[in-house]
Amino acid sequence: MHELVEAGFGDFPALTGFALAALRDAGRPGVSLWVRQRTLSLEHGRVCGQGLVAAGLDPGRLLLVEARDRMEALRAVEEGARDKALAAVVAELDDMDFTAARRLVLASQDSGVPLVLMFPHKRSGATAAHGRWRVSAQPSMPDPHDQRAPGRPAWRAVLEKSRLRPGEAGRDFYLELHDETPCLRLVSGLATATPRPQPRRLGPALAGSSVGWRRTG
Amino acid sequence: MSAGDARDKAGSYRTEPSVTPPFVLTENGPAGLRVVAANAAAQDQGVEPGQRFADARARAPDLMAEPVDRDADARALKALALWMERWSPSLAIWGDDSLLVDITGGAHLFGGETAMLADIAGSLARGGLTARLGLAPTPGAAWALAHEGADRTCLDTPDLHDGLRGLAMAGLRLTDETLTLLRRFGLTRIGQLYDIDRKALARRFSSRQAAEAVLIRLDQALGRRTEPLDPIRPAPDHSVRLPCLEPLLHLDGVRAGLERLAPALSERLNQHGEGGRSFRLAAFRVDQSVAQLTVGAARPVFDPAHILRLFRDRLEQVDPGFGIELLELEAARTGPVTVVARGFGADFEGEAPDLAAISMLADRITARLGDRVVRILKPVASHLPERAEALSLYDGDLPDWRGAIPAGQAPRPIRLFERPETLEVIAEVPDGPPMRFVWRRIIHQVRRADGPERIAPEWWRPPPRPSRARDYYRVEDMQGRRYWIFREGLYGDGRGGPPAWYVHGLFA
Repeated sequence: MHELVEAGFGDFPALTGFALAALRDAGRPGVSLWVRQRTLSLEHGRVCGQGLVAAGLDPGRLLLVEARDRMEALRAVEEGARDKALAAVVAELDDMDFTAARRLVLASQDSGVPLVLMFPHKRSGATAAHGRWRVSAQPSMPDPHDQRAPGRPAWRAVLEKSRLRPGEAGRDFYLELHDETPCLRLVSGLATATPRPQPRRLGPALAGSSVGWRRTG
Repeated sequence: MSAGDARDKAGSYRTEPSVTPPFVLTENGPAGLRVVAANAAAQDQGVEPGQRFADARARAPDLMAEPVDRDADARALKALALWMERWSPSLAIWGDDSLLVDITGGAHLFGGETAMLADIAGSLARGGLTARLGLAPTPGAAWALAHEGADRTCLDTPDLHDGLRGLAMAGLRLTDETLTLLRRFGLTRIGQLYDIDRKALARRFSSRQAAEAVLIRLDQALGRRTEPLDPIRPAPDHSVRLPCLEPLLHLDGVRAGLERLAPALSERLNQHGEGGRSFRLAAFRVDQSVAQLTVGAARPVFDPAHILRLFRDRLEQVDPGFGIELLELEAARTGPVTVVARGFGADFEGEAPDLAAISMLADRITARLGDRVVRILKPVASHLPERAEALSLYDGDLPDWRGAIPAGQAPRPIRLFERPETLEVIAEVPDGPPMRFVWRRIIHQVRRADGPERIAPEWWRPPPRPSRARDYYRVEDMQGRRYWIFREGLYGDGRGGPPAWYVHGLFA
């Protein structure tokens, strides 16, 4: 179970993209459950099927649950986390207390279903999750075919907390989404807009966690 | 067939004969206040339905009256009808005071027709309802017996002709004008119509239809013409019942009853190779009311454990009231169950998802969160982004998105707003991308932009529909956040004022 948190208001789409990339790279076939809380759907829109196709996922394999409040959303997430038939559970929640997180971790460990929870930027404090990533959008490098167009999506993900490897906490990763392959790739020097991305090995922070991405480079 | 007559309504439901004051229900008509219904005490003093209220009060000075509430009457009759389902699932409401119950093939369960009538009469009387019952092979004859015959008359097919002969003409469900007309001809008993020359009768009426109406009702009563019932709800595909020795007063009892009913229903479904997508638990209370609870499943199921799980979180909604004397579990919307053999391991299963497990999960979530929460995205053939996919109810199948997106379509955002939000934009006129925009009171400086992608209105759709073309831009601001922005309309397209800008979605 991993938590993804916005770095600032407005980074929710970046969070969504990051979660979807993680989901796809986890490589589990089957149907995923996507739980949304109504307030967050109103604020940041709903997940878009055609956009999912662009991100390399099959929208037909996604079960969407719209929960009226946090309690309902947590119930639905827990129900999904216990179900071995699912590929993954993704949830948009406004907040969660430690006990609820612990319940979900235990449910997810029993069934082996990966859990990805997305939170707004206000989320802080202790958590029972394996890790908490704070994700923000980054200015992209220009599109090689059109200098004025936005390039590939780029994010900065800071591993804020890590239960599995506490020593790795605080590391930050600059990631870029390759939409042709599609896969996530670590790049350095994004902020200075170096034209050529330089792949780097992923740190051991992700190894052993329930969310893994494909390694490139 | 039987027809119960709940003519004494509302005010006179629960009566204690010794102290009942004369009581009537009144209604305002064109000729002033009229009596609609009168209880026995009022009728003893000469008050009849149809009288003017002033006349009625003159006959019974201590008359109590209340305005009639026909909506409440109809609701009470409907509730009573639901409760009467304990005798037969096929039941219709006729007019504002009669119930028709089809007991074909069911009377032996209650010890024969006479015993069944006694059982119904006893149950209604315990609730303080005055009812008149009649039982006959046709709905029309049953109605006539209940309204004009002696109470609890029971007629079989050979006696039908003679049994109806002596009843008053009003038993044929005719309008007041027709009855008046027939009385003028000297026709007051049903039997008088038996040998009448049908053509001669038609000549007496102003129209053929009016004469036909009389003969149709006669034929229906005698079974020469079929009369289908219009049941209050469709008969369930399968149902099982559990009568309780003692009325159940607690939910634990209901739960235990359900645990016995579910395997029985499952057995029944299994014999037919079917599963139900909708299950209804009806708890018949002792006070002539029914508590109902309906749960749904995405795919047909017959597994008793799953049926129980669907009910588990909602069972608190069943109010035992003064006690439940009969539990009934029904399966509706049944369909064949497809049982798929599972592979030996993950290596053999391949990519095919376990649909049964997924729909069971959807059912569990529906049972906990409420109906209509589990949804799935279905592709729709449309150019407009808000129409191109439907967030439809999960019905047990996974839609196929292959080929749903036209080749070469510009990228779509990862999040879409249900309704586009307005923007204030500074852009190059006439059709440049935005340079700066204000969204939710924050200024965003555009760093990179891509577009436009023009999406024309779908003129072939019936209005209301958007009438202006849209130009979509993919823009990125200084923080690297990406937006899907469109300009509705063009400068000088002659379809309204200057174009407006909206944000429709957000890119990852």
